Amino acid sequence: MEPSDNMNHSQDAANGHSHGETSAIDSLRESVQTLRSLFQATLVALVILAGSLSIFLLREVSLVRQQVRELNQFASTYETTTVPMMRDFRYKLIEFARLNPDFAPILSKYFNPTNFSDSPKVMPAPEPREGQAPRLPELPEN
Amino acid sequence: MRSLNMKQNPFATFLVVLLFLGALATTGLSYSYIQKIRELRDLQNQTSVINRNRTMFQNLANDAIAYGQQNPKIFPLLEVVGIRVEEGQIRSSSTAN
Repeated sequence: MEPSDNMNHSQDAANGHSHGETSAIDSLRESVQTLRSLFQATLVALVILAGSLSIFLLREVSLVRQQVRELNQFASTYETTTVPMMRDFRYKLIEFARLNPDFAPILSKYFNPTNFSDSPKVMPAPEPREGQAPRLPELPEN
Repeated sequence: MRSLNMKQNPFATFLVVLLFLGALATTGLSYSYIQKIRELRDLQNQTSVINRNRTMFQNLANDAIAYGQQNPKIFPLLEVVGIRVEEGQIRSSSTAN
């Protein structure tokens, strides 16, 4: 074999090797480019998801806040107007039951009988049993 | 030759920042939502108690009106809750509203 043949052979091998490396780099570059596109698409999807979730939660929070405001107003109105009226009504009925004992059984359906009876022998109200209507609670004093 | 370095990709950086902000907003809103839902549940329980009390007072007023057929002296008391009874006619207006 001639030395020139050897040189040509090694040059061909080097060219082939170089061509293989270039092809691998191109392939790698293409893969990275694809990966980058996928990453950006995923980011866009996540941003859209987070934005949609934020908008949804914002609307829900707004709705719940409005309901809380309405219920607070309702409870406040109850405390300031209805409770004093109920308390006044109850006291008057208790006084009335003291003067008219035949009304006491009616009132005892709703209030603890020890609250309005003058008799010291009155037993405390029994615990409400199943199926029995609960009595009204003590109304808070102002 | 295009660089493969992510530092030179401002669009991706922008998206990551946007996503981070979105995640922060979602976290804050979720916390606020949970707190408000708890408050709403407490208020709903309170409202159900209020409605039960009102119903029972309505029933008490009805029983008092029925008792008034035997003893009309109770009728002036009913005016406290807005029930006016005139000449044996029982006219119930808004009670304990």
